[in-house]
Amino acid sequence: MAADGGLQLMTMSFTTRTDGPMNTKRQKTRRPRLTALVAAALFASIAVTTANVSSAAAATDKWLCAKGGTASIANPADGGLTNVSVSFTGFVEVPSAADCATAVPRLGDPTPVRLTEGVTYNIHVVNQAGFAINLVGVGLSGAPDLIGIAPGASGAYEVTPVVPGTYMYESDLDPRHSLLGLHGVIVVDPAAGPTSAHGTAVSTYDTEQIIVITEVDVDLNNAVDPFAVDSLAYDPDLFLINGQTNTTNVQVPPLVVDPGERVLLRYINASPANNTMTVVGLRQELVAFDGEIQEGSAVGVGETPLDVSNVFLSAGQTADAMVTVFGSPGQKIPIYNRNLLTSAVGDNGAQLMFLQVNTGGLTAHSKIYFSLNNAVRNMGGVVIRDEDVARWDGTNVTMFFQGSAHGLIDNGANLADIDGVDVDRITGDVWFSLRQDFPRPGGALDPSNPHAAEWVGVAGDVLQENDVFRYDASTGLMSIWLDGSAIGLNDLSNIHDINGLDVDPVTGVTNFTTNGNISPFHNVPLFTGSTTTFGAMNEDVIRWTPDVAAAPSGAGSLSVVADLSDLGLAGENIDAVALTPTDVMFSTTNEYPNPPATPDFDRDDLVACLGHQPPAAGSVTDTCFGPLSVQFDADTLNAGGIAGQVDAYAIG
Amino acid sequence: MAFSTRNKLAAIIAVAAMAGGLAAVTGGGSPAGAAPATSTVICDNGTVAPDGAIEYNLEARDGYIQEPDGNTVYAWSYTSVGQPLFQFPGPTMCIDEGATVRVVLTNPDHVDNLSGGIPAATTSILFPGQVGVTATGGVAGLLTQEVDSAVPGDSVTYEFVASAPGTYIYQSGTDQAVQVQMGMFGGLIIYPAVGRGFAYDGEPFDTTHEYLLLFHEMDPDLHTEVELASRNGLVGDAVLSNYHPLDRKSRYWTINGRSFPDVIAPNNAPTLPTQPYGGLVRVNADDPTDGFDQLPSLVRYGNAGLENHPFHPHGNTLRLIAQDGRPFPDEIEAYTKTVAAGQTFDLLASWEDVEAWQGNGAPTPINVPALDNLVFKGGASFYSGDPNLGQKQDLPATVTSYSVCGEYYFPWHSHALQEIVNYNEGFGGMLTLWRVDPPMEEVSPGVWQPTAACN
Repeated sequence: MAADGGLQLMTMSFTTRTDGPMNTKRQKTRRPRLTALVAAALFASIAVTTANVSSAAAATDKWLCAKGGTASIANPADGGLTNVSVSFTGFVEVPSAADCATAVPRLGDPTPVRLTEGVTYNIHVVNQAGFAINLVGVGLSGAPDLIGIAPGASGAYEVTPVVPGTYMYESDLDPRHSLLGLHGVIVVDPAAGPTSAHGTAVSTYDTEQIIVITEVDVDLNNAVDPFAVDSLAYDPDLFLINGQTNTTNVQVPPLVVDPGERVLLRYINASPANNTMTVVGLRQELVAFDGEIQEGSAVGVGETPLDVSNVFLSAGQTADAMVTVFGSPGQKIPIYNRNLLTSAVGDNGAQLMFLQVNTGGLTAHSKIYFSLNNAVRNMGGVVIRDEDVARWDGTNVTMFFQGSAHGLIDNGANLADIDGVDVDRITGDVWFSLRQDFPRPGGALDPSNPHAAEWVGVAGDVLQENDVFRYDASTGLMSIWLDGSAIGLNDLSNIHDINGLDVDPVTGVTNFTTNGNISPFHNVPLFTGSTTTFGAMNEDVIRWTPDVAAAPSGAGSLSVVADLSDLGLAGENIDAVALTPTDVMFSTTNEYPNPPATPDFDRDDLVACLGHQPPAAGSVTDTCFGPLSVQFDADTLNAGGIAGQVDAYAIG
Repeated sequence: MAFSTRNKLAAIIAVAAMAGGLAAVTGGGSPAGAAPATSTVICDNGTVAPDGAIEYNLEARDGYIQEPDGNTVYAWSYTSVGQPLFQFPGPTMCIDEGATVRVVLTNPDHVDNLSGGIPAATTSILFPGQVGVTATGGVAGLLTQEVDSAVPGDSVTYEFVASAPGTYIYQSGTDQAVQVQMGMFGGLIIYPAVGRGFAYDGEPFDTTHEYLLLFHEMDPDLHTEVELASRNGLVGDAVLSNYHPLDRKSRYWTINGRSFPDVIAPNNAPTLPTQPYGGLVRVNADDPTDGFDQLPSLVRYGNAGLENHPFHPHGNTLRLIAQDGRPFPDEIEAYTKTVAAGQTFDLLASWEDVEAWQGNGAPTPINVPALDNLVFKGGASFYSGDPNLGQKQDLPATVTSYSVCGEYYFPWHSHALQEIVNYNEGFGGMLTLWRVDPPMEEVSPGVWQPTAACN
C-alpha cells in the first residue's frame, strides 16, 4: 500500500536503468509510486556492471532459469492412453544460478515466484533457452527491456511490488516466446502475510489454487525452428490447465478442500485466447483482475465483491476469484473453461479440473491450532506458553492467541493453562477452557491485572476450569460461553474440568471432554427443574445442545456423540477434541498403549477416527473407516514430554 | 417534472394489467392479427407439484431449424414432454424467488431426426449460477448425473431452490463441447420476491417489454456429420465419430435460435415452427412532459454459445444492472458489452423523446434524405420518411418502408462483424433491431396505452 494510506493502484514494475524516468504517462493518472521503485537492471550482455545494482537498497535475490524441455501431455484423442510429446521452453525457479544445470522446467507450471509486498527483489535470469529472452510483468508498468539477455548469458531485473495479487511474467521479445512456454506466475503476498490475497478481509483465504490456462500448437512447438514458423499459421490443438489436458484417464489433480473453506482461485490466462472460467455449483467472488481490487462494481475498497458464475479473462489477464466450498464428502466441484476448447469429443473441454470435498482427515493445507500442557517451548523461534494458542500452517508456528495479552498470566500458585480450544479462523474468535481455576483478571483475587477490562463481562472472582470462555476478537471482550456448573459439571475437583472443546458458533452446540469420568451415578440437574442421570467417561465426547441456537448458557440437553472406548481407549483421557463433518480427531493425556509400536499414538499427537459413525441401532460400538491414524505429531515442533504434551487442538 | 411514488405505482399497475392481456393472447396460439407482433419473453411457468415445487418435464429432442438463407440445420435441444414439435432453444423457465424448482429430464428413443430423442449415449442439464443443485437418478457423469440412453425411460431429476433473482441459462453438462454446440441450452429467469415487474429489488421495468436474447453459434458441417451418422444407424458415442471439435468453424450465429432477419419476426411466427422465440427489442419512448412515467424495457443477455460475443445497440447507450444474476451496487452506463461464453447480463433500455418534447409536438418538416441513405437492403427501409418519432412522410415510390407509425429502428448486434452474416451473406446472423415506439397515449384519464397506429 502507498505511504499515503490510500489504495496504491500502481501495481509493480520491472525496471531497467537504460530507460530513464519510468512510465510518466501512467503516473499522471495514477497515484505516485513508492520511491523504492527507482531501480536498476543489469544484463551481462550489455555494458552495465553489477556495481549499479549494489548501489540500491539491499535486495532479495531470486533466480529463474530459462531452458528447453519436453512435455508428455495426455492425448485427448484416445482418452489419455497415449501422450503427445511437446517441445517447449520454460522458466523454472532455482535456488541459485548453479542449479540451472539440473533444473527441469514444466510446461504451464503453476508454481509461483512468491514475492512480498514492499520488498525489493533482484530477479536473476539465467538464459539457457538458446535464443535471446527478456522478462516482463504482463500488463504491469515499467519500461520494456527491448534488448534482452543473450543466449548463454544471465541478467537481473529489480522489482519492488507494491500491490499484492496474482501476476504473470513472460518473455516478450518475440510473440512466439510465450506460445513456446516462456511464461510463469508471480504471486505478491501482502506485507501482513499470505493469509489474504490483498490484505483485505474479503480476500482472506484458507487455501489457494493456481490455475494457468494455456494452449499449444504442437506444430509450432515441435518445429525444428519455431521462429521460422509464420505466426499467422498459429492453430492450437491442445488446451491445458497447469500444463495438463483433462482426459478420461489423466486429469489435473483435484484440490481437496473442506466444506466452508474459502478457496482463492488464482487464474492466469497465459493463452492467446480470451477464456471464461466457470465453477459448477459455487459462485465466484470477483476479488481482483491483474492485481487490482474489484469491488461490487468498482465503487469502493472494502465492499463485498460481486459474485459471478463466469470469470472472463482476456488473453494475458489474471484474476483472483474466491469460492466458498459447499458440498458433501467426496463431491467433485468442476472448474472449467466455458469456451469449451477441446481437441476431442467426450472430454467436456480439456481445460477442466476439480475441487474435491474432503472425505476425511486433514487436507494438505489444514491449519492446526493447539495449546501446550504445563510447559513453555520454543517452536521455530516462537516461544509458546501453555496459556497460548499457537497456529501451525504446515510450515511455520505462529502465535494465534497470546494468553498473557489477555490477562492469563501465571502468578504465584495460580497457573494459567488453556486445555481446551476452538477457533473461528475467519473472525479470530477463540473459545477456550482452563486446566485449573484461575483468578479473574480484575476480580477480588487479582484486582491489578492490566487486562481487567476484557473480563468485566465475566461474573465471579474465579475463572473455573469447568467453564468455557469466549474471546470476541471484534470487541476484544471475554464472556462465558458455557457455564459448566449450570449443566451439572461441579467445580469440586478436577474430574469435571472441561479439557477438550469443539464449538459451533452458529448453533451454540458445544462438544467437550472431561478430565475424569462423570459417574453415571451422578445426578445432573438440568434447567427444566428436574434432575436426570448422565454418565460419561473421559474417553467420551460429550455434546451440549442448547435449546436456543447460539444461547449455550440457556436450557439444553446432553448426549454422548463419540465413545472412543469402543475404539480401544481405556483411561488415556481424551484432552483435546476437534470434530469435522466426517471425523473425530483427538489427543490424549496419557500414552495410548495399544498397539505400542506402529502407529505409536503419543500424547502430543492429533489422532483421528476417520469416517466416525456413532453406534448404529442395536449396536453399542462406534466405528471408523480403518484404524485410528495419526494426523499430526507435535513432537516435530518441539512439544515433547509429559509437560509440553498438547492438551488442546482445533482445526481450521 | 417530478412524479410521486403513487403515480409511478399507478403506472406500473396499468402496464402490468396490459401485460396480462398480451400474455393471454400470445401464449395461447393467437389468431393472426389478433395481437400486436411481440417478442417479449415467453414464460414457461412449469407446473405446481403436490409438494409445492415448480416442476418441468423436459426431454432431449432433435429436429431441424431454419436459417434465413434457406438452409435447414439439424440440431438438438430441450423440449417440454408432450409438445409435438421440437423447439430451439429449450423453453424459457420463469420462476419466482424462493421456489423449489424440479426439472425431470428424459431422452426418448431416437426414432428419426424429427420427433425423437437425441442420438447421444448420455445427456444432462447443468444450471450454471445456481447453488445447491441436487441430481438424482441416471448414471454418474463427469459433471453431474446423466440420463443413460441405453436404459429405456431413464430419467434424472434436478432440484434446487431459486435463491437469487436474475437471468441464467441452463445447458447440457455432458460432453458440453459437442452437446452445447448442438443446441442443448435454454434460458432461466428468476423473478424477485417483490414481483415479476421487477428485475431485482428496486429495479422495475415495463413488463410488456421484457426480452431475453440468448446467443449461440453453430458449425452446420459438424451438425451434418452428426445427422448423417445418426441416419446411418449409428448410436451412442459412435454418432460423433466424424465430429472433430478442432475443425469447428461457426457459420450461423443466432439470437434465441434464429439468425437475422428471422430474429425480428414475432414470437411463434408460423414460418419458424421450431424456433418460437423472437428477438426484436421494443421500447416505448418516454415523453417527460406527459405525466406518464414510462418504465424502461428490460433486456436480458445470455451467451449459451462457446464463443465470446461483443454486443451493442446503435442509437443509444444502455444501463447495465447485473451480471450472472447479481445486481451491481450501482447501474453502469454501458454500450458495447462483451458477453463471454456462459455469461449473462441484465440491461435497461429506454428512450427519451427529446425531439418531440423540444418541438412542442410540432415536427419540423424535413426533406426526405437521399435514396442511398434510406435503403436498408434490397429497396427496403425501416425509415418512416420523417425524422420525428411517431411521424411519417412519403418515401420515393421505389422504396418499401417497414415503418408502421413513424417508429425508429436501430441495429443491435455482435460487433464481431463476421458474425452478422448467414453463411457469409449479410446482413444476418447475430443481429437484431430495436424498435422505439412513440410515447404512450392517455386514452382516458389515468389510462395509458401504446399509440394505436403502432400496433
